[in-house]
Amino acid sequence: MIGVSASWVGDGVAWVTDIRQARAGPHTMTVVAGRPFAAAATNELMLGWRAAENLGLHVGDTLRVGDRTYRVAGIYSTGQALGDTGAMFPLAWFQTYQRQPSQYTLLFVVITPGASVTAVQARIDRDFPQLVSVRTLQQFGRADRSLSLILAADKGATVLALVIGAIVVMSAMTMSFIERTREFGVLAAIGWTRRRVAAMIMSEALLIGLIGTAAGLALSVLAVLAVQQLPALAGILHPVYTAGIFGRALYTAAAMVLLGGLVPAIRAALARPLEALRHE
Amino acid sequence: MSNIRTQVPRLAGQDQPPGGQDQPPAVEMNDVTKAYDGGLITALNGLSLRVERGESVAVTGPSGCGKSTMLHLIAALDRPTAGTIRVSGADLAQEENLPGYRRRHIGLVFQLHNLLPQLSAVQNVEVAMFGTHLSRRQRRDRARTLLADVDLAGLEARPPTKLSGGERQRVAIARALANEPEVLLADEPTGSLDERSVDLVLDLFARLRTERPGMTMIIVTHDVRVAGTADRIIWLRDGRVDHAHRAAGSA
Repeated sequence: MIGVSASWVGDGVAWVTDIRQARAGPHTMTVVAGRPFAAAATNELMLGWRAAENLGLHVGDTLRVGDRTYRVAGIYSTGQALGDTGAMFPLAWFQTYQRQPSQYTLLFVVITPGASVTAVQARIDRDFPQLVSVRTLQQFGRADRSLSLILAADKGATVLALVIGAIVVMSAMTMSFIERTREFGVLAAIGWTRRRVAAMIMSEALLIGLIGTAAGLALSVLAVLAVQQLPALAGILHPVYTAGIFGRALYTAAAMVLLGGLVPAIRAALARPLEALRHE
Repeated sequence: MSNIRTQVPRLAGQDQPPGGQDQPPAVEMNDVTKAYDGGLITALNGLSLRVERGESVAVTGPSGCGKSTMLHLIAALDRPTAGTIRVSGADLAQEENLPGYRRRHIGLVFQLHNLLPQLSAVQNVEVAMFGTHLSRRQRRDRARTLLADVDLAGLEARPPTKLSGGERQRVAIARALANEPEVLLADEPTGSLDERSVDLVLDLFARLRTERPGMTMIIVTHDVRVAGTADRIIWLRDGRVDHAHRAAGSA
């Protein structure tokens, strides 16, 4: 078990010199330079390789954190930018420093292969009612309110983006169709029924929506791939592509464009042909 | 020009040969008034008019005399304030399916061609046949034939932006003929054309009169040459017929 401080110090680029493996719960941590700190050390720490790169520190250098100076015993890599931009302290010293002796904020439980995770979790919940057990990232919100806040902010941003997108798409489509009012008047004049004109508008709206959605999905996948290449986000962003996600995007976009087409369709259906023909 | 007969449904009585003794007039307007803005503007003021089947009539007169309004009422694009309009004996006030009426009975040619810019020439003709029972292939074949009839063979795929003014107007005429209308209504069809294009359209109208003797033509125009091709010229003034006479070249 390893205590992890919250003193994130920035990011950098890869710098690997030595490889030794260590286990940190379910996550693999690799000491890439130097050695792990001694369990009872009070003046040693390990730096994530991004933090070391950013600070220009190497094994054996010193780093002042708060009112104390620590020697860099080793440099590690977790494969995740968030972990690699931090530092690790010996647990006993960190608990003392934080004036929280024997306090743990996070425990990883390793379960024997073949054992029932559900049964183990139920037993933990029963025997340690003061703890919160989680199995998935989503459940982590039960124990960490900041994650819940992040998820809430994410949902808020999504809704905001949808509202802005809907307004832009709907007004663009409405304006586009209103500019064609005269055309709809011509169609009415040559014998098209109101229903046929409205159906044409809605069909066009749906077609535009499908093409736009396909282009939008392709662009968003490319954007995610590009974002994943950012050093600061390496290893953090793990996109999940499921049929459900694409389906939601599809029917959300379809709803937007259909709403965008609805106003001009009703307008065209209700307009008198002569008035439409005179539209400039 | 070939005389194309489509399988477009016709009203009862329309299949009788044109010009028969017991045929009702193609268009009959009785004491038609059209007022706007609550009566402040009177476009037509008790207009009465009778146009026989197969007849070609030019309607002329000063601006604002009600020429275009008259066409709009015959095409059922607008309704009269008072009076009755009968087309082939049927009272338009009783017609419930006005789009169907326009599709089956009326061909419209506007001063500005009013072609759909995103469609090709042949597609612009095809759109007039939507709502008929013709298959897609039949519509396409018929549209091609109509374009050939107006001397636009080879230009079927061109959008209106790639056609001259005269060519656009001929596409518009082909569109108006798509459903074999009983009545062709043209509102200043040469008003925006150059001299050469006017000649082409006049020639086309002359051919239509020869090859479609049953089709009635009502042409609103200020152009004396266009009016001269008609059987009868009607002068409108202040929303009613001022006088009418047979054109010099008519029989």
